[in-house]
Amino acid sequence: MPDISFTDLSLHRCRLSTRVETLRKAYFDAVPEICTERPLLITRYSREHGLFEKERISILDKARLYRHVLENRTPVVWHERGRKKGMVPFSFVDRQLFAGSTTSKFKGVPLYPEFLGLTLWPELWGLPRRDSNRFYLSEQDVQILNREVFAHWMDASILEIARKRAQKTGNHRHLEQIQLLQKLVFFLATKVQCISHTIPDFSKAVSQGLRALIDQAEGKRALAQDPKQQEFYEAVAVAMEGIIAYARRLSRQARQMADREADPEVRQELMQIAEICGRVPGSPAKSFREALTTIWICWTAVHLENPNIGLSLGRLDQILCEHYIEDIRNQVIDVDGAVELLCCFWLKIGDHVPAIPISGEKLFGGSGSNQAITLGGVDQNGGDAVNDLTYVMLRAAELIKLRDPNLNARYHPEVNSDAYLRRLCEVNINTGATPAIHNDRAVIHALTEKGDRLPQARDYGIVGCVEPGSNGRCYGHSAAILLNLASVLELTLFNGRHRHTGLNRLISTETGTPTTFEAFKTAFKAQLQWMVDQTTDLNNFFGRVHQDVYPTPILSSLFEGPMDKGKDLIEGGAVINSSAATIIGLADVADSLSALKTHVFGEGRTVTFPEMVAALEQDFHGEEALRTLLANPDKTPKYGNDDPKADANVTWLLETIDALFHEKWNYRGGRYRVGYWTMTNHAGFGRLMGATPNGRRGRENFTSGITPVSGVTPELSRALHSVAKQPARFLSSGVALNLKYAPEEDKEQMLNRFVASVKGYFDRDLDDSDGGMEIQFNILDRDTLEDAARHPDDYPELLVRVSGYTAYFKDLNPQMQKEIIDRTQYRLSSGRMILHRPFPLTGERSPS
Amino acid sequence: MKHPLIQRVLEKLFRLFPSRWSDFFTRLFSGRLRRQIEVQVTDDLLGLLLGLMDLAFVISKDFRSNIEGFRGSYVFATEPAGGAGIVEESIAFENGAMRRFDHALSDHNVKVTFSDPATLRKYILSTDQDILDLMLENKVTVEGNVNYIYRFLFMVNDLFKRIGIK
Repeated sequence: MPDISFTDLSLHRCRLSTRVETLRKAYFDAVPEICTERPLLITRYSREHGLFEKERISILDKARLYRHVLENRTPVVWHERGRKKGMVPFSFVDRQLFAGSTTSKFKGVPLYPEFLGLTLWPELWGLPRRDSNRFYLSEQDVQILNREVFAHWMDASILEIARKRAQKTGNHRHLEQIQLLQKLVFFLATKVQCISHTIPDFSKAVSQGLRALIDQAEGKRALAQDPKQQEFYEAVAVAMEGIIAYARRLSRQARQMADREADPEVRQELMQIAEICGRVPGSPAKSFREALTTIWICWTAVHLENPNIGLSLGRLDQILCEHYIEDIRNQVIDVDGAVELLCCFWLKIGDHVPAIPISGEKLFGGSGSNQAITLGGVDQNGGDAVNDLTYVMLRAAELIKLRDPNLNARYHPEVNSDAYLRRLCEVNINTGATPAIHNDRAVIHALTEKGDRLPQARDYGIVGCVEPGSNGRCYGHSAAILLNLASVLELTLFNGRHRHTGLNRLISTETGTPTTFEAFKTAFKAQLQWMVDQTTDLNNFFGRVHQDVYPTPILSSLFEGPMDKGKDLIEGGAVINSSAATIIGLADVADSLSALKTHVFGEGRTVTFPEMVAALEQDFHGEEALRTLLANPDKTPKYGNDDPKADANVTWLLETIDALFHEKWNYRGGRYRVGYWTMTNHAGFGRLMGATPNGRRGRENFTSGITPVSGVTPELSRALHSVAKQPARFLSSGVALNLKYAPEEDKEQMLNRFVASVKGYFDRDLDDSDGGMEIQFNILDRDTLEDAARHPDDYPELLVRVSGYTAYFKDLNPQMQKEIIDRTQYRLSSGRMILHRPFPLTGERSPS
Repeated sequence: MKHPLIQRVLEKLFRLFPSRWSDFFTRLFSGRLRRQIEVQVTDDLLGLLLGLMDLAFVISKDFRSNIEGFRGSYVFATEPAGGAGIVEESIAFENGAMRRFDHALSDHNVKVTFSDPATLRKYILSTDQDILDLMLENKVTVEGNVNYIYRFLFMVNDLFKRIGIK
């Protein structure tokens, strides 16, 4: 067990420095600005070097391309201005401790025309004025994107290359799957959007420096016989040289600024930046600040290559602890200095937001880049990994309260201390939404069940929202498939047809009209099998397109496995090569199964199957008595009430889904895993779907993650027990259990009960399970949320947990805001649900 | 433009004027389209829009730059009210010019089918023109390369911006 040197784990005396306060204010004032630099450099280079004409783009082609960009992009040491509300420019004093930026803007929107960047094309003129999440874009940049960038990618995005290939080879199966994808109601397949969704290994970059990695690559290249391996190692060296070149350009820029600077203090700061960027990431980091700089500069390079969707930083308290301890011991920094460094680092991590078209905002909006950082837990030997830096990072997160990075804390009930868990709960109360807490015992079991070796599983980090993956060695593309489970239910109810696409069109296979519950489950499983077949087949097809045109020299260089195998990450170079699907609509489908079993197929049936289907088609119009019966937890078993009948349907779904996915192999030689976290997709898919047998009306939200349906689980302990008893082995790609607690007057008592609720949920004695896997919170009173929904500008910093990631409440679409407001809210002092009326959607609200 | 000679003459003529003059003349010819928009009539919205685009491509060098070097063809299919059958029309871009056809081109990059005239109207005029939004409502079906639609919608917005619609 590591020695914790703090007596006050909360580090209450640490405060935000003036520097950080200034930067934080500018950060919240700033409107995101579209940055055209990356797409323009990429497009010009691709045209000049004939990359658009190539059927296959080699990893060396890509490495040279990225090196070119790194050698030519703007080296931003300090920003001079941002844009605030109304798109008005504003100046601020940027005295960041870290040089470099993801884009050329203070708060930028990087564009990736290789993926779905072109979805912004129709609204380029309107981006600064659209209804939500406005982006600034100058008229000049509109023309640059229109004429010099997007025009060249029309046939070259991943989706279009895939479609063209399917057409060329007459592959109707994949063409039909792409059509299904574009219906958006069945599943989303995110390989058309990104590679991302993984954690690089920064440990070697920090401890050895990139120059050592180049030397290793060149040594391996000299020994390699296989031309593909030789090319891989050459590409690694080229890409790493590019990153070093970028750092040196930052160093030169800082030095030039220092030369012009009159203020000796500022000049000194610039000279320090110049020295650090002149050393790292090329050489090994010698201090905590240099280690952070190494990670930051590598991080900007990773985002140059990979879209800003779910790329995650991993176990930074483990990677950086030695440097931190050493600096504290040598009095290079004190704890306040470390908190300031981390806050500056946090702000840098959040210097970009994803580009989302307006319809994406309407359905799935509000997400940041979901860059997860993982703290605590156990080490590879099973020992306590919580260290001083864990607490310093918690304090930094507590003070700065940013959406990105997405903070995740690991807690092992048998290894980590109660004091640590208490601190995690305290930070949740103080921030209202972070960190998410993961049960190491359950997660490690889930990962080893899928084949990870025990030390690998113990060294997991969180990817994107809540997905566990062995840190720096698992390329798991955890969000490759987002499957709408309610569509499987729909296809079962409507005999292979879907109301959204028209009941006159057969989508999957006809499974008939079931007359028993067992027959219904058989039909459901057949429809699920069809869906799993479609989604995995299409994901593998897209993955092969990645292999042909989107090799990843930067990510592969910063990963465990590719350097040993001489193989790109997307070719199977990583140590662990899984893919994963996440399932949306679990609780609504499980409760629907319970409703069907009780009221349609049960002994005391109240409605026939055709009558149920007819009622659903009518959205329960004229059938209010039936809807009330189906929605009533006293009359219909509901997941989340510790009711064995209802919970058994959840377990059946989890087991069935896991088994069907795990049978499938991906294109990198790994297997599929399954998770239950939904981001905002439960609201988006809900908007597209008709009524369901659990009494949910059409267009209403589904329930998030693995959480029971809102409003039907009156007792907190029973809700937690229902979720905790679900076997972890079926949940290997993570879960999000969203709970909402009401703030209470007596903070100490609230904290005690908060800790007890988490401990109870993670308790393994429950039904011999591993205990609950993950839990995340919103600790906000309803009045605040309602007021924020009505007056979003009054709450620019209000942070909420969605289903996985954290978001600013004002950025969420109205449907998602409603979902968070309507979530079951418990009072910890009573352990009971607080009753509220459903919040109206926008348009139905009267101004307060 | 049906007559290449007229097209060439107009192109040369309007090169003599600043681009804002071209926008002014385009605006002069946009009366019928505006009236249809204002009174929410959808009879021939697409036809009027394509006609105006066609004109703007000829007389506005600036607007024409949107299609320089662009080669692509579109089919638009609509189902008019009253079950009169599907109406198809096509446009093709080549050599910096637009051509219109009153039938479906067999060789096209993308085909967009609107479930009804109201959807077509929404597609063209909604403040947040995004094909995905209508696809979500299942009122528009896109077959082929959706990036071509994104480009077309940008040009529609660009035209509207020039002539002061929206």
